[in-house]
Amino acid sequence: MSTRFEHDDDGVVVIIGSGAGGGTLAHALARKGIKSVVLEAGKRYAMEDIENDEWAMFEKISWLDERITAGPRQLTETFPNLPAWIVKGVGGSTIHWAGVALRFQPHEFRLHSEVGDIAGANLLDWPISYDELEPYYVQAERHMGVTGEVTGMPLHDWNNNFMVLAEGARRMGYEKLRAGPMAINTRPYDDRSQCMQAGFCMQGCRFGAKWSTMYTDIPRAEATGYCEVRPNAMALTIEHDERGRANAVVYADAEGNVQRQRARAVCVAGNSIESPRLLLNSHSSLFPDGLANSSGQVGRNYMTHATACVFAEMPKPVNMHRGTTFAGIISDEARLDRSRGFVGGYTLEVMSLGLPFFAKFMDPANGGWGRDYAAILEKYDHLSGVWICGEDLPMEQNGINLHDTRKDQYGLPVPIVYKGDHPNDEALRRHGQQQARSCYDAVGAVQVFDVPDFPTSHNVGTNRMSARPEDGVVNKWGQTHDIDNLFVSDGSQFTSSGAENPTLTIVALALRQADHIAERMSRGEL
Amino acid sequence: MTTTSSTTLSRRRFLTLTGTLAAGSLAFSASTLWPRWARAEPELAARLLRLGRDIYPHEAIADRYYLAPLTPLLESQRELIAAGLDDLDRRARAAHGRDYAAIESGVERETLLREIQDGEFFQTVRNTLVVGLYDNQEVWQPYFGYEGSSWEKGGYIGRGYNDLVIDWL
Repeated sequence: MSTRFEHDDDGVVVIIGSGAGGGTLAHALARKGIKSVVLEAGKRYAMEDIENDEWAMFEKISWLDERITAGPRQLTETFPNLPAWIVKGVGGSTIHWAGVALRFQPHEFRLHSEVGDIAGANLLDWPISYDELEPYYVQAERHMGVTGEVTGMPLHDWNNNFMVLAEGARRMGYEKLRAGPMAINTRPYDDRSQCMQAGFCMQGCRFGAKWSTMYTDIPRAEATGYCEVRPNAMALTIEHDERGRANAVVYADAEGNVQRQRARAVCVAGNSIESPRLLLNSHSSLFPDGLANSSGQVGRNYMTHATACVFAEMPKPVNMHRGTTFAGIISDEARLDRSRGFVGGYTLEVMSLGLPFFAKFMDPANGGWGRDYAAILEKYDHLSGVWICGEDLPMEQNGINLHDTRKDQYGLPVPIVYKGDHPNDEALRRHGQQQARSCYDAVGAVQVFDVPDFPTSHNVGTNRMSARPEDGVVNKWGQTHDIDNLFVSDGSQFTSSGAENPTLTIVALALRQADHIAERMSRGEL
Repeated sequence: MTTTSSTTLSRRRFLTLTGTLAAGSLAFSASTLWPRWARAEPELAARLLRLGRDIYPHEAIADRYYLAPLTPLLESQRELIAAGLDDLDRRARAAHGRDYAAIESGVERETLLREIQDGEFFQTVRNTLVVGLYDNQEVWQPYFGYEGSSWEKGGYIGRGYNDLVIDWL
């Protein structure tokens, strides 16, 4: 904690963001003796700050700086200034994530090759294969404490919510029903507690049973003496020298003073809205379109997963709020099977919301009130819910744009987050909703109803990986094609979204990137 | 669907909510439980209460759980609220020949509200209430079966997170 690096120390790697990408990377580099300064826009929270209270935690930890939701989607109307539900704080969105730790499937790394061109989609294969990433998936699972084979931790017992969905799914003929893998301890692991089935996973785990960089990688990186974390430090621009190499990051500190940290290399890990925004805001005479943007793909191809929710009222109380929030996964539809009328697959993930959030999110549109609405809420304890996590095709027009005139509290142009659906997304969503309905019907639901999208927590793709520099922003190591010592270390690297929650893959990529950076440093290249 | 007892309850609540009776009886009955904004303008508060109870109607939940979040609007956005309630009454008189709160049928009141649901007045009241009513711990367990914070009780391990028996099929 006490390590301090000088602002003019040009031997440090500057990492922007402390979540799944940045936090993991800082720790991995520190263990190799590589110095880093982590600039985290949010503040530092203590375990005592974590409450089992949905609105209190939402207000406490969410990224609530001004953003504009845009595009032909319901969120534009219902959450005009909250396109994404992510965290501003040390630990980033690993405080909020629900712990689902699925690997991508091998074919998802080469979706373009598998399905060919699709009109309106900007499909591309990842420049890495599953086999190349596989050892890092193993490392990530061990690192995060993922239930299952690698750690030997048993999967969670099924909670009531999952029992309901799974029984319906079983009657539908589904077979891939599992209460995991989750990065939530089922027994003490890695000096952290076992899960107490408290619920409130998305409000932060008070017990530390769910992996989060907030209480693992960040303090451990600091303890090595090789990492300094600066909370309340909002990166404003990345600077470069006359040769075009990144050499400093300018940021606003807690008092609003502008500081400049020199850098040996810069790693951007601010999530898929802030990361491209920072690169775009760092335009210069040498890079008039923003850093690392010779392809024009910075900020493009924004993906969120094709999602929807289905809830059902059951004949008896389910008490979905008891136990982990995302307690079980059905993977039968995750396969690639074009006979369903769409490419890509989806997972069905059982989920719960507390009453305060459910009352808001069941229908956040203007018409979400009245006698029928209240009647469903009175059956709150009889409800079960499922979230559809589906492949979202990249589209070039979906992305992060900068507002011409509106500025945020740092004086930076406000980001406009534009997202529309590809017809494939719509077909996938309809299929998922129908299958979810059928599951609940099969288990005797009294009524089943759709719940619209929430502000999204899975934001990926806006600095995508590509084999060729003209197709994307970074190469297979997350290194930008244009600037040798500038890296992207978060989910914005994703070339496609897959049908899986992104965190495990972000961590695997960060661990791999750390090895790569260390190797290049040892060769004197960085 | 409506039982006799809840019809009676409805009727009683309906009476306390109609203008003159509400204003007159407040001073002697539950007025001390009312928030200060409601006591300052009881007539306006009673009309706002009727609206709130129609937006999220829960027969069994007491008035004060609606008044607590809603009546601060009488201070912070009094003009919007007063004008909105007046407009609602105008619409009610045009359609039914009486003030909004005097329309006995909940269905008819909801129909009137659907006409104004996209307006700022209605959404201000609704957005205030959707948090203010459902984020109140006192109503969670008794009316919805939601148990709230659990970490201080050691979570639900051994306390019913996996106690469901699917015996209805």
